[in-house]
Amino acid sequence: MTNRSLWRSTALMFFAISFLVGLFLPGQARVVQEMKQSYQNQDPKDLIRVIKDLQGRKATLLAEETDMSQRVTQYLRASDDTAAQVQQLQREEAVLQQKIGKVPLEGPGIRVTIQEQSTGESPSILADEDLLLLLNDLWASGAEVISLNGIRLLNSTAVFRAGLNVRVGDHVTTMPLRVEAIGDVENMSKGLQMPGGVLDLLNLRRVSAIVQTVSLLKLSN
Amino acid sequence: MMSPRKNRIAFLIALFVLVISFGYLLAVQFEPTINQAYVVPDQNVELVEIMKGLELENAKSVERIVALRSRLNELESKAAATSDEVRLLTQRLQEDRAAAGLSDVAGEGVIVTLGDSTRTPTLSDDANYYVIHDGYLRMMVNLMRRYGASAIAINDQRVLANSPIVCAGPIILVNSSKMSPPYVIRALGEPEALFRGISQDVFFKILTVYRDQFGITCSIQKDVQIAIPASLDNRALKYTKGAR
Repeated sequence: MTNRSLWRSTALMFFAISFLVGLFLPGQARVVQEMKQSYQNQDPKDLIRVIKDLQGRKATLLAEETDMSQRVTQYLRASDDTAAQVQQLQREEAVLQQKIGKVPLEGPGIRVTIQEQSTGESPSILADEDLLLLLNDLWASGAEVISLNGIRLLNSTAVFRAGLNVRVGDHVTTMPLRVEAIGDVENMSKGLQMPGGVLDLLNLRRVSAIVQTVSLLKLSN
Repeated sequence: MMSPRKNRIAFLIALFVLVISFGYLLAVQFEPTINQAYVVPDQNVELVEIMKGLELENAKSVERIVALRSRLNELESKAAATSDEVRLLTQRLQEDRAAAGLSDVAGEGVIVTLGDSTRTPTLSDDANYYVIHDGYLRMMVNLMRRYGASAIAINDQRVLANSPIVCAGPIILVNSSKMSPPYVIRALGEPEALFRGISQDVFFKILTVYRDQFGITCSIQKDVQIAIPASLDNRALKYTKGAR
């Protein structure tokens, strides 16, 4: 073999190997990425969390299914009984009026008082996303009704900072913010105080949040 | 000039080095695949099976609820025709149900689509910029409400005030239902006001920067006819009573 043909073979070999490595690498990276995204490769704790949520959803759906089924049966039974139909409709109306903020409500709950540090060299500010996270965690842990400084949160209520104030739907309110939630007190307290949860986050941002349980909260409509 | 024997030895050494390097690269590349595939625990396989089973059961339950609601509407309409009192009550109830998010709604609005990046972050990248987080969905829903949305849905889930949007690792749940990207967020309302408000908001602009820089999906469409499903969560209030 001459020098030249040997080095040509080496270069050819090098080219072939580089080509193969180049061919494999993107495919391999894609496989690893897909594996990371597949459910079976998730942390079991996350999968358990999803299952618990799906079980909760199942219970909610079954309750709604049972309720609807009963209402259909009652309607069929009372097809000629106007008084019974009126009674059934009024019962549902009373429940809905509570949900859509048309009547004042009361019940056991928790109050979270949020205060920013307005003094010092670097004042702390409650950011929109932190406030939304707090509200989200309350809903997720069993809040049935929530109000901010006495303003009820309804389906179309946006909550955001407007300068130093807080805008809640069409109302403007000021800090400190009193978040009141009626619902499962024990669960809500646990949900908020979870390590690494929203209270830790607020603490990290030097925003004070004091949680109190209240045996009877009264929320206006 | 090298002798032919030396040339052959040099060639063999070069070949040996190349083959070893190639083998090493392949081993390094396939190691995570092989190891990860190997360590997928049985419990995860079972958990995923349970998860899929629950999703299926819930989907069937949803179908039954939709059918029952439709049947109830028919019965209410029939009854309304027989009595003025029932008709007025039914009418009021329909309004209250709509306010409570318990009715399907349709009309003009906007659609915001958010999705994870298709690019694979390198080791030096912060992978957080390549995915859509639950916090982004909460912010977007709030933004839509701010600019006048009267009804909102993420994928097939109606989003009400009390709809939790949470994550379990990389999985986002809305109303305790597992969501898959892309997240299509539909908002019913005045399209121009929604479009202008959302697209000019700082939060949306930040997402567009992430889109350009990291390849996430972030887009907004206006002048579209959208349909938003009713909420299926009509739980009775357990702790709340009318104030005395």
